[in-house]
Amino acid sequence: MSDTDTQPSSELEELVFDTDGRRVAFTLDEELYPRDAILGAAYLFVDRCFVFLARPADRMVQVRLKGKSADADLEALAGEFANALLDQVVRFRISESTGKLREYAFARAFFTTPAQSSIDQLLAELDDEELEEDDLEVAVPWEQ
Amino acid sequence: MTLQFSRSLYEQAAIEATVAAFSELATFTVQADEDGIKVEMTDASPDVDDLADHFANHALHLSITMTRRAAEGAQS
Repeated sequence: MSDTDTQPSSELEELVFDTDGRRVAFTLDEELYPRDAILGAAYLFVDRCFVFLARPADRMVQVRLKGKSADADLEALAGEFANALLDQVVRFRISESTGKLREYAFARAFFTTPAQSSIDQLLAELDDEELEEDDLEVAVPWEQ
Repeated sequence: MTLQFSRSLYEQAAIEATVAAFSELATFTVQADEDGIKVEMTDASPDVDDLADHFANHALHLSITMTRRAAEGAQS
């Protein structure tokens, strides 16, 4: 990894970023990182640093992070953001690929069994239940 | 100081809500057009450091929250 303090443009593995000592900026392609994933990662960082998003070109999102303190480790911040971003991308892709299945499972759980028969079944189970004798014979209001 | 927000990343309602929330700390002028939402900040309070950054953070947080709520509403 190169020194971010002296280099106007640096690389963190594959993430190329610019820094001026107080801010770090990098541009993301929405083909690789969906907008919702970028917003998800940004959401996780708004309490840790100042986050600003810009659109320098179509399908491109520039992320600018600024430390809340002057001695913030910008390279570490960029790396952590990149990790969070990957996490969000995976979540997004899984959510997309399993969306139909999830909808089907919910629909099946909620709508395939008639609600009335479920309630009747539960009431019948309660009626059949043999209540245990109370050894302490604590009086209950409806028996007084 | 002028802040330029992209319409595809920030919600106008979120920026307007942020302007309302920060109205005691500076004077804001909002101009919205097809390209984006431009916020001009003047007479900023000297008591708050990085006011523009706080403003942008607040606007982003609200935008994401609003976008998520809208998506959840659309699904239900």
